[in-house]
Amino acid sequence: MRSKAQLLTTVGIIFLVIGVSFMAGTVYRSSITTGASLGFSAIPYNQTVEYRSVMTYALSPRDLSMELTTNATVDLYLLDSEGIKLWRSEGTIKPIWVAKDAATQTFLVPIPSRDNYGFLFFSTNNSTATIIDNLRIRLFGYERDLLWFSLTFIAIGSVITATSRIMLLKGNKKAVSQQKRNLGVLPKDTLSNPPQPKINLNKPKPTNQLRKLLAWELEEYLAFPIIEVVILIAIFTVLTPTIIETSATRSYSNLLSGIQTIFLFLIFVAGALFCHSYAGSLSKGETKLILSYPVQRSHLFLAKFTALFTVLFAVYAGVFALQIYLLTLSPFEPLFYASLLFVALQLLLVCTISTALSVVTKNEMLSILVSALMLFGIENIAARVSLVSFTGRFTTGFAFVSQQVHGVLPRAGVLAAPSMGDALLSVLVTIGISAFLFVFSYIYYTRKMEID
Amino acid sequence: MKRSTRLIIVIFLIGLSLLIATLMRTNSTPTVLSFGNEEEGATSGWVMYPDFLMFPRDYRVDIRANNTVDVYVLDQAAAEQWNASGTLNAMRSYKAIEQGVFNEHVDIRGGYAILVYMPTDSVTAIKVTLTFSGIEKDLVAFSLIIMAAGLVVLNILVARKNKKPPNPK
Repeated sequence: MRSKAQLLTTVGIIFLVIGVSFMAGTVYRSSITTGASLGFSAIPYNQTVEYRSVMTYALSPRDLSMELTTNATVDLYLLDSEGIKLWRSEGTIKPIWVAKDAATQTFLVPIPSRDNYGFLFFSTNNSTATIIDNLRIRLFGYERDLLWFSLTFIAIGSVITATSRIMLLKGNKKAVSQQKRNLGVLPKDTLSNPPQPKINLNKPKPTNQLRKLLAWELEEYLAFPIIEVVILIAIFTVLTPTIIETSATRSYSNLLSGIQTIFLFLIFVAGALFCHSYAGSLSKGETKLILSYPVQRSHLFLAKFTALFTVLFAVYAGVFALQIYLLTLSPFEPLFYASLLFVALQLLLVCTISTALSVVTKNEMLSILVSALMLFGIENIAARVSLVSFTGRFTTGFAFVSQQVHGVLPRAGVLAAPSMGDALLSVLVTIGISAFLFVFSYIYYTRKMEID
Repeated sequence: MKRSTRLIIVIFLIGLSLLIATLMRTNSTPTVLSFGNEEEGATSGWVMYPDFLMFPRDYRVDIRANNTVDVYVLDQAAAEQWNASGTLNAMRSYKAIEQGVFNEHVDIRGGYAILVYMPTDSVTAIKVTLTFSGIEKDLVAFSLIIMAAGLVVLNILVARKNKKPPNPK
């Protein structure tokens, strides 16, 4: 039974590793924005075309942004490979997406599948002089097919791991009941008067105790190579996102471009560290051992949270500060500090969610998986502009500050100026949820939680 | 592990990851910037294409025109000077040219501008394309300095350890 469960755990972890690595690769691929710029003439509808030309591109299932600049209105058709064949052979237009009477404007189209796509332009006034001055097409966001593939692997891995854990727990229960039966053999005196451990009755000062616990926490949970890996991930996520704004005066817009990657890695890094510290120490029996000394539960809880949050924020803030130099920003650029505030809030939210899950489940692997999958799922299910997703909240706040400070919206990903209410909500929602979860975890950890 | 050894490892790893991130940034920074009016070709006199971001990398300037033109690359200060007083203080200049490709490099990251002089009273079509290659030299230098600092501290520590008198036991 036990060996079967262990084998299942190994299989589940292999699935999880494949899924997570695939997801990491997909997230990295999303930082590479592919694009092209074109200039050409639109075809009049009434023109007889002997060879029906169409511009074709191989596109992946990501979000396609099309910035169109014309001197007159045009009809724009997006054809898939079947549509291209139909147009070329019969002249029939069977588009997957249409924009009628399009002028100089930007369109956002989600590409459904990995395929060859064609762009067809027709002059609405049947003029041969309609010029498409520029069509700038750019692909951004995640490749949805790869994302689904990795999520499927993670889900299968999670199910297998959870099943194996249940099997192991059942096995352990059987073993415990067997032990209890064996205890009945011991003399009654041994059970009623167990040997008492020696306890130091000199109570240490609370601040001293908290400081010692902080130092212990830092030494224990940020030991080699954890902090090194955190720094490495922070440098990669902050430095590698694509530079989409080439204007020197608006280079602050680039702070927005890679934020999704930073958030996603924060979910994994902060989630893993917090769950390892809270749930891991509970399951290993460390918490029980520490609390057998004259240590207050509240001090232990606060020491864990403060130590890990401070170190994570210091690492990310330090690396994020490099953006001032890399993007040639002013050291007093308000958008940099606004971005930093949102990173801090995001980190706080991830930390409180992971802490709450850890203290409730007391299972390290389960809490890591649930927090990562939940946050990653919310991020991908919710729209890019929704306040439910981290990116949405960041984009809203960033666009609002950009509008207030520079009088313009950042070019990428923002279609309309957000209201002050939306901007405030994007901050208050994060603070509110974090505060609630922190208080809940604190009360549960200090008053309700049973340590076995 | 000793605290000093740990510190050296952290410093060295910061340098190393910065170096790798710098190599990866070659894909994520802009590779081509294009300026001009090649299609319409209805410009004459002084034209400025201002305010674009350049990083300390190698770049190729490709100039294509249907007339003899002068092309200047200005940094942020020079562009401001040109706008304020009309004084030309170019970082690079390509004079009396119709077609040409030149290999250059940027020393300092920041805002730049392209200034073009086209013959007056003449319809001129021009296209200036900047193609970037190589890695950001300032970041490479920064990461190498950090890695070197880590190694120097390590050497000092090893030397000190070796200088210690042998244990009489």
